[in-house]
Amino acid sequence: MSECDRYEHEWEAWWLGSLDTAAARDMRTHLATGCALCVARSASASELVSLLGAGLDPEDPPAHLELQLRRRLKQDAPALRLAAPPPAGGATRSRWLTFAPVAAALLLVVSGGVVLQNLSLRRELVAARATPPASAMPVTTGPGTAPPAEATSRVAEPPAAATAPPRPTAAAQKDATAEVAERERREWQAALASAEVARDTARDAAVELQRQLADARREVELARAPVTPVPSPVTPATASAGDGRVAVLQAEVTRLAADVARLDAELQRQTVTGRRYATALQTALEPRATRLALRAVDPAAGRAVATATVTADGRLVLSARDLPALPPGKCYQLWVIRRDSPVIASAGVVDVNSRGEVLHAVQVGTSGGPITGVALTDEPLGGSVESRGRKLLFGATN
Amino acid sequence: MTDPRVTPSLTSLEDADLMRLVTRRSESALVEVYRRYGRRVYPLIRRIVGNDGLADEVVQDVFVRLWNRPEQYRPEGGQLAAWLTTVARNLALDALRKDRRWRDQADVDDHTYRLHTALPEGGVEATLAVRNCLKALPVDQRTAVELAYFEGLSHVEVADRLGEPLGTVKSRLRLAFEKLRSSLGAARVVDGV
Repeated sequence: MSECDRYEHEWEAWWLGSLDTAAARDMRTHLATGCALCVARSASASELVSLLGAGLDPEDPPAHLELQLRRRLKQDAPALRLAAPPPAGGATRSRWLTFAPVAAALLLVVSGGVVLQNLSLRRELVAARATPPASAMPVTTGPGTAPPAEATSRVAEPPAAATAPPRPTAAAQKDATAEVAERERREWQAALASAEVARDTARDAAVELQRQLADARREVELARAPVTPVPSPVTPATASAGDGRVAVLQAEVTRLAADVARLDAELQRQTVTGRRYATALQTALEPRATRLALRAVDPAAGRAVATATVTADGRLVLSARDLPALPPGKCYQLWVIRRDSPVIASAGVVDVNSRGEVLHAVQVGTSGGPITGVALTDEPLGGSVESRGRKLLFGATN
Repeated sequence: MTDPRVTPSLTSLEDADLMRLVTRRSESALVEVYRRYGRRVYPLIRRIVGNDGLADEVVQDVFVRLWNRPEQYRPEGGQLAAWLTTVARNLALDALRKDRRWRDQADVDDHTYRLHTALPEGGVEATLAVRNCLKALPVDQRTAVELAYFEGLSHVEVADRLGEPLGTVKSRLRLAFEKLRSSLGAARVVDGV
């Protein structure tokens, strides 16, 4: 029996990699001799094997994979990699992923706000412990609040004082206050660390965006560069095909230019967001700032929670989350109430992202005395001079 | 001339034209290839590696391979989809057994780049045709084929797994491929592929 006969029914197994090493090596060696019959049989077998993978239902890969793939393409040959102009559908998806770090950063800030709110609540808890009315004991962070697990467990943990109810002495109260102050200090440090991570993440996102923009510009240049013609006999058919390709490339140039414009606009938006974030971070970390926990005072506020931080020089930062989407024609507006002036003054219309999160930094000044209350209302689109909408969230200083 | 009312795009290009752009380092073209065929290789890779995280990596590996060495896909050797499918299978099996020597196919490239591949055109029809042909196989033959294809098992390993003599497994696989060749060939003729 010749080698060809012996291998006749083995080529599928060879392509599957199912043969033992020696047999597979022998077949490869034989194939390398250029035996026409076995080359043909091998080709036929590879066709058949390749068909087997077609029996599975097609399934879209996860959305993040495209972005990861693009990044790997760039990493593999940085000097040559060029950003692609994603078509409309895909652009939204990958763009969102690109700015996910910024969103994460904002979330961290909002989380920081919630930590602050917890600290404020803890103060209430301490006050409640010092003079414990029965109704003050069930301390919660409000419906829908999701504070960091560690903070939650500590708030929820039954304090030793609760199981040993004798009224605390002045010295014990002092110790308790010192203990809480120390806890607050530690949590501030943790919040600061989180905020720094958020800042770095936002910075990385901005760098990535800059890089994409530069890549997109390079690709526009590349697409505009003359294409080296491939020598071939010109027939009406090839000429028509050539026209088609030129049209495709022209369309690609147009789309790339549009992509550059979109990236530019996105970069500007992100820059504004970054500045707002920096301001908010600076304000939030101001040691002498006053912090107000805003709570839902209307069912329409749903599970929303917010924290307002006001500095002595009149800067205000509102961080909120879980704000429900308002009906068309409505917007959120922030208001401040001052000690020396009963007038409620607008602190601006608040932008809420698609996930119901807010990071709103505004200069409200100091005239009219210290701020004693902050409210969030719904108003007609564009905002109101005087509040006419529903008061959804409200918080006051103690 | 091209009708000016129609806006051409990469999605309208044929695979061969896309691959020319990929060779010219057009990332857009490569991404278009991914969008076109990622949904075909992804379930295959996932089925083989059985792990979403690893599947994600291997899917990228397949297209990075195409990006880095586009010249190794030869249109005359078969369709791009089939080439990607075969590369995907090999890379998935490599990933699955990266701590084991991959028997004869240590150099996957040497094999895959000389593939003669032919997936039937079309989406659902093609999938159904292959699936029906596999379904038509006796269960023992189909199981042997699936173990060899999706798990990359050798004849010996398939025999161990099934608790059957090696000769029996070899016969089953041989018979299975003969039937597949016959029925898929017929399906392709009927479908005009």
